[in-house]
Amino acid sequence: MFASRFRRSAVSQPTSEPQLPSPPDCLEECTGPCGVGPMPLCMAGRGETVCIHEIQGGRQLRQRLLDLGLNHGSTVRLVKNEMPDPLILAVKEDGRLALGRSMAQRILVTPTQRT
Amino acid sequence: MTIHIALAGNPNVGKSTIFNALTGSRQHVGNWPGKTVEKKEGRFRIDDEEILLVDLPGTYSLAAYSVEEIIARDFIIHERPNAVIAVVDSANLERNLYLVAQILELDVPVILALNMQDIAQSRGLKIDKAALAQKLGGAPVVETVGNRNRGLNDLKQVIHEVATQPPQSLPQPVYPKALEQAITDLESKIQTVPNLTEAYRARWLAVKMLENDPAILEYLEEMGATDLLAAGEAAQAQVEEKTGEDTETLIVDRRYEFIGDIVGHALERPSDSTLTLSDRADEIITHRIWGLPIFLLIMWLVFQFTANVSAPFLDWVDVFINERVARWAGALFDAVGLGDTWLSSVIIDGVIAGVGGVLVFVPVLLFLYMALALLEDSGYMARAAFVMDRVMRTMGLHGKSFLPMIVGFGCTVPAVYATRTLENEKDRKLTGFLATFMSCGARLPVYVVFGTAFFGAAAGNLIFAMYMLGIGVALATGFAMKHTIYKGQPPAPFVMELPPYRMPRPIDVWRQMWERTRGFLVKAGTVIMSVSIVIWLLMAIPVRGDGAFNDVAPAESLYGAASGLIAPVFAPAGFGSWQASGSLITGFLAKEVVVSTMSQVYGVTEADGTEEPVHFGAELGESVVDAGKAVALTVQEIANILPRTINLIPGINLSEFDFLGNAGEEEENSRLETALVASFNESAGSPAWGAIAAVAFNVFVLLYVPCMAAVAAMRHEFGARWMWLQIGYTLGLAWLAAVLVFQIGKVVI
Repeated sequence: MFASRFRRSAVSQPTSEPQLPSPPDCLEECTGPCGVGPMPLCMAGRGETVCIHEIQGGRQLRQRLLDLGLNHGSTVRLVKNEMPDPLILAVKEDGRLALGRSMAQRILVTPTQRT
Repeated sequence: MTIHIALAGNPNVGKSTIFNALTGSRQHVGNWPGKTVEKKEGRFRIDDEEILLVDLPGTYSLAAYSVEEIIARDFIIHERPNAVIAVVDSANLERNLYLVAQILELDVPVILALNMQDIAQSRGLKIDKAALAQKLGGAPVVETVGNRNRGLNDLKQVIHEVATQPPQSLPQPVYPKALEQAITDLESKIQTVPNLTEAYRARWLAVKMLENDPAILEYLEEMGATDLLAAGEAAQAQVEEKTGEDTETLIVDRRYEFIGDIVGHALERPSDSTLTLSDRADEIITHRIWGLPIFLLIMWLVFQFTANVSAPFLDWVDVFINERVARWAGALFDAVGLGDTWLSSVIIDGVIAGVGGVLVFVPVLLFLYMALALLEDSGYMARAAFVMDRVMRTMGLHGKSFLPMIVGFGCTVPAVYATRTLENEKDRKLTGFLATFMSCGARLPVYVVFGTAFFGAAAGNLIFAMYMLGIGVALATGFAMKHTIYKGQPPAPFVMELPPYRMPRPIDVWRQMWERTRGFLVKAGTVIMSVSIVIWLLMAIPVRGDGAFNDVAPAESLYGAASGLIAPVFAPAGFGSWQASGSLITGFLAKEVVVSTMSQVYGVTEADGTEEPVHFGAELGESVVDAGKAVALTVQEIANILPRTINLIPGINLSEFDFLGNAGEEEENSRLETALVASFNESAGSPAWGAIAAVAFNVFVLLYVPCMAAVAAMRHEFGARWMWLQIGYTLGLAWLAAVLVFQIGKVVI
């Protein structure tokens, strides 16, 4: 049942983005403790290496990020995270990706280490 | 027998450099059937074998979510090339191998080309070629530093070997047990469907079904393979139940594990430094505060480059074609007894004037494309998009949309095509729409003529104001659209690769310049030539007075009469003369035509009757001398960029170079300018208001329908509906703005 629904939506409207619960707003400066559980990528600081926990978003968005190396369980390092610019990530260590803040808000990560 | 080889790889890995180096000039550029994606094919020989090399579109994946991905995938599946050369960026090996893993799954012989080894080495990345080849099941691995032609012979040799040997089977990702079970089950079901396995391998199809590949599912649905689709869904549900993960995630994760294993054996990263040279450069270039000023400085340089540096060549081409060639053609017609006939007129006033009008812009375009190629190949373009992201966000767009707009300062046509780099349909349309307000090179001559006629030394202010107004209107339009027709739409996701900074290679820059300019020549040349002939015809047909065909005053021609009908529309804006309206109509063909039409209709073109005899040899010699002068002036302008930039700082006034003692600069517009001032003073209703009417006219030229070529490009890319919206909006806005400028200006002054 679930699979059938999933498939049809994939074929007919691959661009549709489901309505998301509102995570903390990445366009605002992060205040207070960010917690130890999964947090939006944009809450991570410069130089921090984090682990991709979940990507909230439609199939197309997820697929694009997977193709670019942001797969579930992989680590990324924040090369740059300055308001209000996009983030710069080191992906698969050697690649550099610029990522919009609204997108970074939908990628939940868990911290691994601080360098 | 010709050997078929495909070239695949991510964007920005130097794929086209390898393509050019292998095929040289034996290339053919066209489109993929039924698509607006460029297809490049080239031929070359190895020993006695003829090789056909097809350049596949640069993609990050073969997931079939974009046209490019589908094209690349379908080519490999259906055309079955003898081998695929997978070009990878050695400095970003792991991410690049994701595409390679997907190519391996297509069961085609693969040659791995390690490109950009120089950058990898400078970062201390060590790739063990032997280990890499071994992990890839013996697939050849070749080092090709695309930037120095090194390794090309190795590559050729390997192509020859692979193509002449029986294909080996290469390793592929092996999936977790539950998934493999599902794949095997599906495979056996796929084999029972007739005709299916002729085109696709069963295992690949099974994996794609479990991946929910939209193109494959659609294909199976069209085939009516409902049983198979049902089996696929059941298999997915089963795997999800067993593993607690969905099949798509499992498959992608496993692919990356497969790659991780390869990289773990074959790549050695330096233990310490995590900040590369490019990262350090980005600390400054994409800095929160410094990023924008640096960007503006670079844009200023690009403007200096395209506007000033190309001007001497522009003048040279103008004189050469519109005066010399036209005169020679006239002399030729006289010599064969066809002088002053309609035939000589249509060739000289129609074809040569029309084609000349296009060719005049070739130097500007060459320089513009050079600047753009330099920005792109150096890696700065992506940073400009990064820095401009916050500005673009106010219009509901993101940084990547800024790139076509930069192109729009040169010419709107390539700007419209440049929107293809955007993933999102809404972004593409809106960006193309706004790019037309970026004042293109063709509009500049209009501001220059009017600026000097009405404002003398302060002409620069008018020019600057027009550029700023264009940007302002684009911002306001984007902002308005974000809050009206695109209201509530979430911003498109912004994700963009930042390639490492590199030194651009002259040959690559030249190829880009030439390819783009040639495209412009072919497209615009054919259209504008035919329209020029039509305009000539309209101006040759008398409707009033006692003129005869091809012997009629402009005002009494069909053209003049038709312009006169439209003229009252522009009366509220202060330029309701038939000459002004007529030049705006021809300006739709190409905006640079506005000026040339005006000099025609105001009757200030070369006085007739005083024709000098043609001295072909002497004049040709003069042209060569002029070309030399143009080169000197260009060098002078390049040298002047520096003092001119420093002079921007208040209080500093460096002198600029003047190689030819002003010999190259001559103002010939004085008669046209006098006529313009008189005409605009009259149509404005008072000499005091002529200048306001002139400003209003310039505002109209800036904002109204870009030009026919741009409109055709819009239609090609975005469809007829969007094209008409564009035409309507720009005409309405231009008229309104011109009227407002004139009416408010009258009150203020």
